[in-house]
Amino acid sequence: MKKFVSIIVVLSLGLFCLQQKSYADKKVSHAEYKDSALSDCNDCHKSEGVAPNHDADFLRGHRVLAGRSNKNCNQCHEQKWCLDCHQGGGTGDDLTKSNFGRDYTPKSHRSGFVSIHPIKAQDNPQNCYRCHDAVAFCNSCHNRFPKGSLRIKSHLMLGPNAQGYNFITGEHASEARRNLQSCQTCHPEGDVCIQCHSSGKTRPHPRNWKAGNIKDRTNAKMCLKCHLPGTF
Amino acid sequence: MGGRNVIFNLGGEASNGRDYVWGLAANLAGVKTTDAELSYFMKLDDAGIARDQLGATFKQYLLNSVKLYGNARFDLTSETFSELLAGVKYYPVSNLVLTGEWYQSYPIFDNSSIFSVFAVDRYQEGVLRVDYTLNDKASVNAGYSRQVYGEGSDVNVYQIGTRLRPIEPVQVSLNYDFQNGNGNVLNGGGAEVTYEPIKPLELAAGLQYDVYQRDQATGRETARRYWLGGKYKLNKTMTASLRIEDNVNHQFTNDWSGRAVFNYDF
Repeated sequence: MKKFVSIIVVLSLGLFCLQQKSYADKKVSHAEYKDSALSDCNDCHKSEGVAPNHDADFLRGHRVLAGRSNKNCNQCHEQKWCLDCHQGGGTGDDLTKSNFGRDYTPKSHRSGFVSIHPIKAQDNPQNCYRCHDAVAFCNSCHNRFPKGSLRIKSHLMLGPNAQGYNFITGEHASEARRNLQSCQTCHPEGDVCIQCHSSGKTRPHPRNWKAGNIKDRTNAKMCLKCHLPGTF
Repeated sequence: MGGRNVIFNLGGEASNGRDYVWGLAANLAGVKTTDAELSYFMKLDDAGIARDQLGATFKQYLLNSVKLYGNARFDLTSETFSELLAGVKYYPVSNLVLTGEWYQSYPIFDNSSIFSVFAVDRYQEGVLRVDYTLNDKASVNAGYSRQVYGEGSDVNVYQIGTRLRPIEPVQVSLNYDFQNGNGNVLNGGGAEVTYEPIKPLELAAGLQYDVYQRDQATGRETARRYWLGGKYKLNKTMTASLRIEDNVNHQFTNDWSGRAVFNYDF
């Protein structure tokens, strides 16, 4: 930890020195080029040594561009342009915007996403939660299904009358480690987890578990959910 | 930045008096070829400190044809990187971009959530991609991603796509991808056409088609979506648009939906 903090301090000093050295070299404003063709943008970018952007990869990669504090998106786009996808569902932020074409969803959401989302939701676990709230959004559909009908391997029913779960087998452990947020969707308080994972039963913590950090930050409230006072 | 963290649920405001967030950031300004930022974020709730994180972003242009970039989020509670991205773009000419990226994530939960105490797998992803613009009429792209999960269930994703403009008023977009691994197969793509026959009228149509297999027990299934739309600009302040769509999949033999919109710009 000390090593990491030291690196951050050194980097901060480096940033400060760089800033002092060439503060005069201002970046170019793009406001006057907002109506230019993208090919013109790319030619200019290349001549200035800047990477062409707004290409076919823009949807995937724009998170990094837009996340920078000195981003210049607002020189060409108003905030409503972003919100049209991020909040509005593509109703068109003005009359020049098309709302009759492909719906404003990522290309991964194609073909009636209900059909293929069980596969796509297993991709990068962070992706879904950048736009959707795990508990509210996913559970608004999933809680309508009878238990055991979701084809989650650990939740498939067993026995002659299909009355039991097989989550005791190893499937639930690997499924939970792979996408724990999906567990939180239906079990927001984790009560079902604590039944087995509370003190002395089955250790749930990672190998390099930093118990002291979470204890300090929550005044041990979290620890007391499973452990008795004085035993941790 | 900072302030009260206001949370709403269906019943109204769900936040309490101890829900706050604050953060600070310092970024490099005035260096043309370099971007860098360091940030700190803290979220507080009923249990105490819910999130305690450092962030960093970096971008550097080199030799007029290389861009290096990175993005990191470090969780101080678990002392691990919750997200880490490193990438390089090489653009020898203005119409060719080669991209290589490595990304990893480790899910983090609020410290007040029971899920914050559980072990999880680290997710890693490598991306290689080429974007090439041949001329004003055509561009192509191709990519490969390898998704690596902690317990050997890796996934390969291949994708290709093209955008064509054979004549000025027509634009065609085609893309296809194939995903295989972790017991799943997803094989499909889409085609879209837009056409502007006269200035105030725009037409568009599209098809999406997927053949997929969730696991060996489900077998192969097919999902299709067809849509057709048009927009007519009545005058400077009014437009009307219409869109219809049909979904055909394992749930519906036909599922028609549509929307008609009239826009008036006040």
